[in-house]
Amino acid sequence: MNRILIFFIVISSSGFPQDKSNYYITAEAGLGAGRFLSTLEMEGLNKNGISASFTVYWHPEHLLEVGIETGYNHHYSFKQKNKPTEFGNTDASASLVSIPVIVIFRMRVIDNVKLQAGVGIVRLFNRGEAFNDRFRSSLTSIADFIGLSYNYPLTQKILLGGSLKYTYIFRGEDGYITLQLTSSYRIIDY
Amino acid sequence: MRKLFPLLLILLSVSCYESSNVIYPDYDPTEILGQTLPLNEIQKSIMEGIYEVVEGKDIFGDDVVLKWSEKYLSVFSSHDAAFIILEGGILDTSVFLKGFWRQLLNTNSGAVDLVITKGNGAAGLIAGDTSAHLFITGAYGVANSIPDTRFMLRYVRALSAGHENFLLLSHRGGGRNSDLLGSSENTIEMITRAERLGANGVEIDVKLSKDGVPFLYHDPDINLRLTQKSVLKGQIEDYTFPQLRSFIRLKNGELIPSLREALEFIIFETRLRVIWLDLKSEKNDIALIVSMRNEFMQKAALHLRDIEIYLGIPEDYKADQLKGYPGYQDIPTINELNPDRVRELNSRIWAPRWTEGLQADVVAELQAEGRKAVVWTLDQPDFIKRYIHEGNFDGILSNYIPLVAYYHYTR
Repeated sequence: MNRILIFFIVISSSGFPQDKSNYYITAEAGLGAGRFLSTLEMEGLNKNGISASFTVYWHPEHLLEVGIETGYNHHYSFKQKNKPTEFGNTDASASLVSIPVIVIFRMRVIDNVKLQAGVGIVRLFNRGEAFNDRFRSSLTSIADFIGLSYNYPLTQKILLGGSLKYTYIFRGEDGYITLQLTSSYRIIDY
Repeated sequence: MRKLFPLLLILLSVSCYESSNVIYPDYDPTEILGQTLPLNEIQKSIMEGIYEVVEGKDIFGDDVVLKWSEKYLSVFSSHDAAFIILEGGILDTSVFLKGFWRQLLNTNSGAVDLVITKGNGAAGLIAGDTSAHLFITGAYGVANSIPDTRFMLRYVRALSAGHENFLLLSHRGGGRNSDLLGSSENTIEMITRAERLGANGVEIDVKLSKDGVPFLYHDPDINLRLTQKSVLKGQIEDYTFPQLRSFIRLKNGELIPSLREALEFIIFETRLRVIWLDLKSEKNDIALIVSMRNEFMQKAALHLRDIEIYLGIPEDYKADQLKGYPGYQDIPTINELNPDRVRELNSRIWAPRWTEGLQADVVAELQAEGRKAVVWTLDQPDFIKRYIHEGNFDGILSNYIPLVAYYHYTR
């Protein structure tokens, strides 16, 4: 949370001139890959996964844009055959995915490149099987992130680009980094 | 603005978290103690008592309590809840004692190396002379340093008598993870330490796994306060016991113990007199726990173990579950609810929160009905002293049992 606070203090001291005169709203979809950054190490653990996001941004007459993001992140999958235990050998599997709801603040730093940061909650879903019993559980955590995005305007309404984000999940003290291709569409002007 | 970005990135990379640890010094009791003979029960009872701290007041205060539990000699102090745990034995005409000290109110710790020489009372002690005037001399160290600060104790008087039935109850089997005792809360390893810390009873938290196995765990979820990172996330009771046992390690590396394992250990490996099963599951586990309690009470009776197992009733929903069990008034319970519910369930022990005060009148009323009263979870040093000196409670549940033991044995 301190990191977000620092970010906004710096943002609020910005001396950038205002470069927009109208307000508009964009919708942005992203799809890419993610890497779970954790000290968790186990045989059979795969920390790579897919990452998707959907964000709606409000672009006011200022440099700072505000958005709300949700999405889907596959953090890891785990698979082990014949794991020896005190209860006998078992095949075991597990996977962790998350659905975030994050408030995002974003501002342009150089042409088409924006610095973004956000804070919100993620709902984590854990599923798997061991000892011939399927398990499923979930939990909620606070999360924050910081990242960069690039948007190239194809037309007046459509932009293509990419984003790189590092997200920290407080409950598990884990992070994940995602690299996505993004597409934005200007849906409302007013 | 652009110049600020590198600064921002540096600030972001700085961690806000700091962890603290207690260093328990390495000492090998077999090094010297391996050559010694163990003390017998008479010799141990001669050593027990209240001692003046002649040297070492900075760490241990003005006086301390010495109390044996099996092969360990514990020293309890009121100064920052300091305690010492020693192993000892007789070699020639001296008694050698080695171990470590710790202050529970902070993370200070170190090694302790003591001896009772022939001239300081060891001759009388070894001969079983109850009038032996003991001087214990030696040194203590800080963290992993060699003990080199002088430490001397002088026997003053015997432990206070007349309160033998007072319950010194260790919270979560001996203490919380945050107390940094070297073992995780609610484990066999922690329960092993309970008597050395001064307890004569333990409170343990009981959950119920998805496949119906009662096990020891406090929180509703799997979290980093209690466990190491694992591939299991979410609510602890969403998993079967084999899954929990095979994929989770507790904070200090231990396995999650089943209630059966814990009861087996307490009854057959300790001399603890009371087990308080704090029923933390929202599921109705009453029939299962009562059955297990009865089984272990029978085992205890067969082995002539003087012990009582109580079901803890922390919330109204658990009291309601208990009321659905036939003959519920015959089941020994420790009840945290109000006195009316204590009477309704015929609970043997009333356990109010310590912040509700001494409540002398209510305590006296319930005691007149043949019940006991204990307070939880009392960790404030000044209030521990006050509750022991001014209160009429039959026991205290605490994370700082060494401090409770000090005030109990010196009253």
